[in-house]
Amino acid sequence: MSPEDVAAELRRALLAGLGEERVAELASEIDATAEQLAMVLGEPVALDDEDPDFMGPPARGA
Amino acid sequence: MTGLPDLTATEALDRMRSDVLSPVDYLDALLARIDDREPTIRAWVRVDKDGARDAARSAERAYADESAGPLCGIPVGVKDLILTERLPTAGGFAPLRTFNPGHDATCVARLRAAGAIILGKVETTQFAGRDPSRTHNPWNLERTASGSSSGSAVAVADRMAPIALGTQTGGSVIRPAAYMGIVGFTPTFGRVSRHGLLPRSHSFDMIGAMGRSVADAALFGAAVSGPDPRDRATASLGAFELPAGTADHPPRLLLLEDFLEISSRDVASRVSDAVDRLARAGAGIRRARLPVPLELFLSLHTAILIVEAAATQADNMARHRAHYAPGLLAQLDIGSAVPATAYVRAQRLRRRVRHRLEAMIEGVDGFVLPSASEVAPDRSTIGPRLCQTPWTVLGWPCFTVPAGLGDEGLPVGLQLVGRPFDETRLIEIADWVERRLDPMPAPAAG
Repeated sequence: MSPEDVAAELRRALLAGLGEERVAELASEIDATAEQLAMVLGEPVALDDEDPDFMGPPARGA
Repeated sequence: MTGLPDLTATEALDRMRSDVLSPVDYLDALLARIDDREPTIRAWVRVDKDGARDAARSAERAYADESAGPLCGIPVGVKDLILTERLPTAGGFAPLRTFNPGHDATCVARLRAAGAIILGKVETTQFAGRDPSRTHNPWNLERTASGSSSGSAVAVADRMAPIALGTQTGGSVIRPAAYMGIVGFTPTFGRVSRHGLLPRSHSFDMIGAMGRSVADAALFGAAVSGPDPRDRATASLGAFELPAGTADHPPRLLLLEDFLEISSRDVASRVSDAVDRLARAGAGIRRARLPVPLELFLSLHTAILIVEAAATQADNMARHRAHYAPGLLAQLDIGSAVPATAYVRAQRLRRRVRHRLEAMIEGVDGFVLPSASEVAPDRSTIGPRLCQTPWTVLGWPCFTVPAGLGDEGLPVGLQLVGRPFDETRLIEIADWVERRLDPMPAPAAG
């Protein structure tokens, strides 16, 4: 997805809950966040690259 | 002449153990310092004078009957996001002004058990967000006190407390400590229980210690670390050991060029000078670059942080929306709209990025880089997260050590990043580095 696509998706989701005025206030922040989310969504993660405990703390411990 | 408030915690402990300093006299000197400075600096939410005096008298008795714990008589400031039994914890949020569940966070309970005195609660930005707190920078009142642990860093730098606990979800221990010219230490994610910490992001929230020496920050970082069944992230981990003595073995460090390139000329120059000095003293320094773009770290951090923060704050937002600071509210609003698939993808990528960096740090003792990309900017911001966030994303242990003053007379910090769960070696490195750089003077503004 492009940053523009992500921004449009964020706006659609926010409009329902917050209304047009608030979405307009957030315009630049939405665009900046969309850039970052697009980078995350554009980075491939193959299924064989998966770590089953991807949410846990760093792997090593006592 | 050095007064009692200038003592480091380790120096004060030595004097108390030698019976040449009374915990009550030490506390009184710090309370007088707070009375003098607080109207200008505004680092404290509440100072518990009565509770601290009771504890100081108990400490005096403990030294007399030889039952003193390892931190006996040392006053500590606690960030106002961390629960304390006697004092409310508001997190910078007006509706929580009187919030007090009546128990200590695990880290605070551990400090008390070791004999430390809870001096009071220090300022935080609202829920550790990006909107600056009311605290002033004692180096220059027109510059930011940073955040989110603004009160913690300022109280220590301005000689109101020798030690403070802070928290880091992006860069909120390392950056304010660097801006204030003090030492900040965040142990590996999972070492310190977050039980009793008002959460912002469960994947990133870490508790760290600030002091005016590596020995102090390490001592208190170790005191609060260790397993706690009430925070499962700590469940399999023991406390780390403090180094047995002074390490004379020079460290092998990778100097990360990416961070010099994004830093101001002033900061890059000071850090490069400091690293040259370490190399001349015998440190093995090699230049290296991150194996993944810095922007990816920042994007992962944003994608995870704003979703977790929005989920954490959802109930409060429904009831108290008008009380949120504007920067935090914007993040929370947008975080509530991020697709779940983006959040999960960011978590998966985070683990993959961690594996890449683990391979990079093998064979060296750690990374060295600026603690912050510029000296403290103006009061409209808490400062950029660029130099700290990658290590929070990874959950790796970090120190910031003062590296002198920049062109504007403001502190510059040198950041040391260690291998995960190897705090003992990181402390040795930080101590070695500290002993080869010039001591930091006290701030003098206001």
